[in-house]
Amino acid sequence: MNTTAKAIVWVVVLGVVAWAGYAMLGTPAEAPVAETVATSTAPVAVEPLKIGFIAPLSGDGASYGEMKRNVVMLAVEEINAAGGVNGRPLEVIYEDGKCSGKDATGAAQKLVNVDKVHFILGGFCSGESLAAIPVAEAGQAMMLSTGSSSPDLTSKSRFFVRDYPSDATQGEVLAKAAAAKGWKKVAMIQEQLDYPLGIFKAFSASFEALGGTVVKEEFPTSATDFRSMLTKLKAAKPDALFLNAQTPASGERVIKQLVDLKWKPKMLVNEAFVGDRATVEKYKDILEGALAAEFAVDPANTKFIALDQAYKAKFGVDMPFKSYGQTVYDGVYLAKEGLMAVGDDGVKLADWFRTVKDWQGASGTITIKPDGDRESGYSGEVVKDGKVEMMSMAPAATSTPQ
Amino acid sequence: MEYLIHLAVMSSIYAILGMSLNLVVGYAGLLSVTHAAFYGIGAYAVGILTVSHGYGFFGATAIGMACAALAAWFIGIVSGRFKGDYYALVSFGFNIIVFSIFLNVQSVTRGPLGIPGIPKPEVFGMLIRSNAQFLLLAIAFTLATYAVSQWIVTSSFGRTLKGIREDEDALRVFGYDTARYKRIIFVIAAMLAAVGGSLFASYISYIDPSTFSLNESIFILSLVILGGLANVNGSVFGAIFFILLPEILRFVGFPPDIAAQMRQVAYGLILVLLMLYRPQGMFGEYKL
Repeated sequence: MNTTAKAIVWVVVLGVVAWAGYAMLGTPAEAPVAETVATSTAPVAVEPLKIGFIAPLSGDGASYGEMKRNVVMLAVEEINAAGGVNGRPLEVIYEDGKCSGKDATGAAQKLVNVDKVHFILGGFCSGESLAAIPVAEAGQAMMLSTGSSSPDLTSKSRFFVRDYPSDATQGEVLAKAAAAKGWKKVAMIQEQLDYPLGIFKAFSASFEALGGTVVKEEFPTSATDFRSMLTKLKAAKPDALFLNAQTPASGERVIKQLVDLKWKPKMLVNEAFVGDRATVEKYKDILEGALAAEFAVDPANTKFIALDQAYKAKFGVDMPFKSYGQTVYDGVYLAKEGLMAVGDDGVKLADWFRTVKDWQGASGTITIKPDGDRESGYSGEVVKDGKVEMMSMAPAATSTPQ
Repeated sequence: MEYLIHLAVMSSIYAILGMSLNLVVGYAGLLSVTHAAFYGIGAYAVGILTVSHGYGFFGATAIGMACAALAAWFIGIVSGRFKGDYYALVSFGFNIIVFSIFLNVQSVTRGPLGIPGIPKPEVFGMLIRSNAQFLLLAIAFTLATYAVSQWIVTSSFGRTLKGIREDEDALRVFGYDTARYKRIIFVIAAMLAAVGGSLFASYISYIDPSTFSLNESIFILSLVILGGLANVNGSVFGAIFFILLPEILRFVGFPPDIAAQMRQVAYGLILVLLMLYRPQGMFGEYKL
């Protein structure tokens, strides 16, 4: 080892020692993330109340994570302007979970044991939540997820609740809608990721119970050519094609090739796809009459309208992934109410969240069940002329073959 | 403190992975980009066997090591026919195959849903509860790996490996069955990687295929190269460095709306600078 190497090693060692000391002794007063001190000229300096945040801020899921961070910033600003939590401003510590269990564990460890938070808004991806829960449990911190929809999270922990419904309900609603149309055989093209797989499981279970059959082809996220899969599915002569992708981008790639193949089946699409209204509008011809289920946004909800407008005003763009945005917003406000009611205590918060009943938020009425899940909220939708409309209660009447 | 323990556990796991890969890349000179496959086999063995078949941690680990050894033996037979860049490509392919198996054999691996709720190990009838206890276990495994690695590289077997790395034809002329040597070290490295995987699975308690993708293999290879090829201490250093660096960057006060991106940029920049000024790695005794 020559002198340069020695010098580098020493610099690294010194850096680590300095940082370890910093980490152990806790964050000093001048915290780096102090952008939200918006208390209205409070004469006494009140210590901010810290809460944690985990979502994918980089990598594939970053578009969701950024939206979540923006909505949290917005809600926290509002709350602090209105006096914070019992006079203490909220301060959010943003950590990147990268949509991976490993990184979410690291993020949760830092939040719980270094920043000493007792409440974490996260994770976003189900993998983040599943891996971070044991860390939160050990540190008795409460987690509220606003986006994790894996059925595995139901009853997972005392310290975990979510204000976003489980995928199981989305699959069920779609299966019922398809059966009501009189469809017997549905062909599914599914991306090989946890979210579409969860929907497939729930969908096929209820659709088969209703007497239907499902044929399925799967594609990896990196796939760009779907022609052979689509041709195979077409040969099965299905009543409808279910496009079950993780993101609008991959769904769009499939749709393009449907157009190329000149196959125009009746369609079912999942929430992740129909949530992107621009893409739906773009392919309105092929999607005409397509069924969807969405944890719907209620455009008449005043809280939602206010959120939507505030987002646009603050960030200059239309809020993406609105159905996720509304639950993030509600999550922050639920946290605020919980913190006001029982204080910054993970155990008490865990009990408090399960008492939430008929709480009115931007995402509608929230009731948290004892298993930590939100009471349903999915509703059937249908695409008409590029617009997504709520399904009428008697869909059978409109289902005459075209 | 808990946080530092967490980082120490992660560093130990990656030190095991780094040391084992170093045996293949640093000592035998085989540019293998498939380590995450064996890491994953170990992790999935523990995940599947402990969650749904009632095995204990150590039994599952042993089976995981056996599976990894078997897989490595077969791939060793095939990849033994290739050299240099071609070897790297073949190993590449193997990683992708194993990743696809994790992703697609859903009846066994649950595919992209992953396996949640993997229990913590039980040592002599005592369940490991705290992370501090887990750290002791991880350190014990790391020390064992360290001892095995040192023993291998200082033995005549290790010297032969270095000889193969420098001039394989010459050794063959002297009557060494070089293909066999390469296969054996590959199998040993795979078994050690499986140990790292089993520790990871029971520590994080949730695994899914994305953890064992090609990127992970490249990550492990980077830490071996940065630590220094053909030096066991180097791999330990590399592991600690690669685990701590992104965590340290969490504490750099970037504004929250660009923090995540800035961290990645800083991370990449530091690696580029290190390679620029220290191309043989920190402790390296051999350069690819």
